[in-house]
Amino acid sequence: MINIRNVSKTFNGVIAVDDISFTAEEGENFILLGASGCGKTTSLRMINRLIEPDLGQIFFNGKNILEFKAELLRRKIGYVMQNHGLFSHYTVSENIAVVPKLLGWDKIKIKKRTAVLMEKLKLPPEKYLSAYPSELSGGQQQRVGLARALAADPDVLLMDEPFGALDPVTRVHIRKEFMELDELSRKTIIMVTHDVNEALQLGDRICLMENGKVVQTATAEEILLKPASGYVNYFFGEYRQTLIMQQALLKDLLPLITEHIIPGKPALHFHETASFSDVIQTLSDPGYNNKIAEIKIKDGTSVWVTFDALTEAFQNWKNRKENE
Amino acid sequence: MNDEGGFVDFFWSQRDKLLEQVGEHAGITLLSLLFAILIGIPAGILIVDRKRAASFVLGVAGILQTIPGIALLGFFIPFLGIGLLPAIVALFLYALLPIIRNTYVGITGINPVEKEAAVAMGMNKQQVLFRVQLPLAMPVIIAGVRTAAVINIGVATLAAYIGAGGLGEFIFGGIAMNNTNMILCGALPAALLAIVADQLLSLLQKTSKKGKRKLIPGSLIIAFCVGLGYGFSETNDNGMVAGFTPEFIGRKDGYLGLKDVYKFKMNSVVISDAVMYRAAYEGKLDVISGYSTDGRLKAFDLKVLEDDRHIFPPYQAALVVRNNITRKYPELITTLNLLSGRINDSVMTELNYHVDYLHESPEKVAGDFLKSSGLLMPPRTGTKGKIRIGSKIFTEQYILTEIYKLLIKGYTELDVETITGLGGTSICFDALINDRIDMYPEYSGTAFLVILKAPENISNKIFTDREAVFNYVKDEFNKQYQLTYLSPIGFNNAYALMMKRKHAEEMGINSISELIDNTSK
Repeated sequence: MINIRNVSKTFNGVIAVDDISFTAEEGENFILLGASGCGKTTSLRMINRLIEPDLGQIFFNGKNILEFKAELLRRKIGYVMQNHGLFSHYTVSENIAVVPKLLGWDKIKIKKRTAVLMEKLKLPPEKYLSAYPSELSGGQQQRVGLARALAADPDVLLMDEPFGALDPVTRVHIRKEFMELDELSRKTIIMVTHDVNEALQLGDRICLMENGKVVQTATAEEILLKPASGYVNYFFGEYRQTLIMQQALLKDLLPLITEHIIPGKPALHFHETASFSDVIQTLSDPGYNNKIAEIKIKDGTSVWVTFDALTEAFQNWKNRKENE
Repeated sequence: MNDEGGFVDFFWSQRDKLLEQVGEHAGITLLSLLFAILIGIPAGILIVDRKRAASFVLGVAGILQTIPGIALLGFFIPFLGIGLLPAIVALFLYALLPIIRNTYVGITGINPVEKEAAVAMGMNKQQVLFRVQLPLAMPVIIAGVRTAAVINIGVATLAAYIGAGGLGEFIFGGIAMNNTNMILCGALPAALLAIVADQLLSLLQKTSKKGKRKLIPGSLIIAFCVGLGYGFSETNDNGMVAGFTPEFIGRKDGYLGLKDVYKFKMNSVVISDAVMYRAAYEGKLDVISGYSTDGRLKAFDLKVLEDDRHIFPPYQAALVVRNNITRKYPELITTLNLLSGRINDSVMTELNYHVDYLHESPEKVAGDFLKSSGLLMPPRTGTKGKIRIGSKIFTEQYILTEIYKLLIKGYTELDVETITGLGGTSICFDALINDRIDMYPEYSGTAFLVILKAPENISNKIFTDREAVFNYVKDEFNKQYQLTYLSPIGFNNAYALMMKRKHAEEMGINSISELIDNTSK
């Protein structure tokens, strides 16, 4: 869908992006991850020609983006900005209608589409239609920003740190909403973030960048368990262990458990879709000495395991993954 | 209070003229403001992405604003003449800076994120400008228009200096005639106009923030139509045009007398003394009011029309001397009277011209004059005593002082100290009666009206009679103040109507009556 080939960009003699290549497949959530100044945002902004590369080519649906008129290309690609970037002189509905208006949709169609999007994003139209961005909370502003990017139903969505400006609580909340949004599930999304959790949670694939170069492009599991370089390990750092534990779901560990105990003992309850990390967090509570977990399986049955057995299974799972 | 009642009465009596002037004032301001908006906003937009052009344009607009209004208007006379056009052009230039600057600052000051969002959504340059940049900058731009409007309403009073009318006519007329009611009659409505304009625009500024943005082009279009309508309605019909100073317009011995006695009906405009002579010279005005001995008469080759029905009172110049001096030095009188009848209007004009336009010193001009009249004598000892001669603060008086100085030194054993530049009539006269000076040249009409404040029954009877006025002043000076009014020097620095000499000769006009006959045909 979006194909970047050997692209470089220099600003005033400083290399921002250095010969990068990657492809975001159709329907994929592709994450550009990295520390500040690694070139991830520059890379994103070159896709809708907010920045023109010095070298290399970018293809949109197999067509070089230079063949499009810049503003026509941008109308086909949704763009969500870090600080929402809403037009302060437009109401919520006017903000959402910007791109459809540019595309020349008729008024009734725009009105319908706006209402649908506002419903989906939990912004009741009757309440927020003619509100101004300054009257909304940060989370609401970001949702309007998303609605604006989605308004013309583009195939590709570029998101530049979409949750970056939100407080941690709102951030988790809105992120969850985004994941559940049907509008997003079909789209090719390229998202920039520096938040490791966000990348692992939302990304089908993660492209980790450092100093303008791509370090590794891989799935979350792969990047954690088979880091391509020391920098990958370094970047995920102390979180890496926890992150791996989060990747290990109980249903993946169950086949590896060698020692089961008799049902009926007092235990803590977990669902099989919980991660090993969830179990650790609960069982490591010093006030709880029992260290036995009851894991509920999809078919309604349960399995009783000790904490030690679960830990052993996790180690095996991890070893196996790393050697795969 | 007496004064207040006077103001209300005056205000009411002038209501028609006042209404007309308010209309003119608002019209001039509105038109110039509209042109400034039409040029200033696009200029401000064009320099947004051009830093060097921006500092150049803002610099030029800033310099324009520092040029004094009257200088700018005087500068325009050769190109644009007088009246509405130069007034609007000048105000337009004054309004440019706040509008260009606020447009520039308004657009460059908007949140860059919003501009980037506009580009990222797929707007082209025009769309970014008209849908995002301009609407967001609009409150700042309108603030600039507000500043410009208030400045222009203030500066538009200067329009009265070049015959474009407006409330300045009252203000400058009032200042010239020392009539507080008249000043207020112009100043209060001007201030009110500024407040109203500012408030109306602030309303627009508020609506521009909250929706209803369509009001702005709408109100611009309405204002433009009104302004243009005004502009067309004001275009003068052809024919001869007279220009008069605000003081002249309001005086009985000026324009009012012209209307009463001569039935003067020519199109007339109010204009500043500072630009009036030049406007006549450039042919922008056919007839002007002026002073009969002004050096500019010669500089601009103007001809004084004879006041054949005597509406202008005599302003004969003569020396007024303290009686104790004439008693102490009797020889002084004969010496001072050497000048009697020696300087007529055209000689005085010539002398003024030498100082004002050829930039010769009053001493040199005085010496040259005495030499050519055969009166110059080498100075004597100057040991007998010291005479103090005062003068008012204009050229003619400086020259006279120097002439008297040379005469006294050449014909008596007295020394002379000159105390020049004593401001107006009352300062000079106070200095004289308080023994700070011994003599100064005074005009009979001024002494009659300003110093002696001749009662109306007398003034009505003898006001236009040269000799009667002179004798009245001479007697009263002696009686009331123990002063001697010497014989007239010969010239009469009075109001006069004047025309460009060539023009007057072509039309065969020598007197005001002939002018009236000529124009009423």
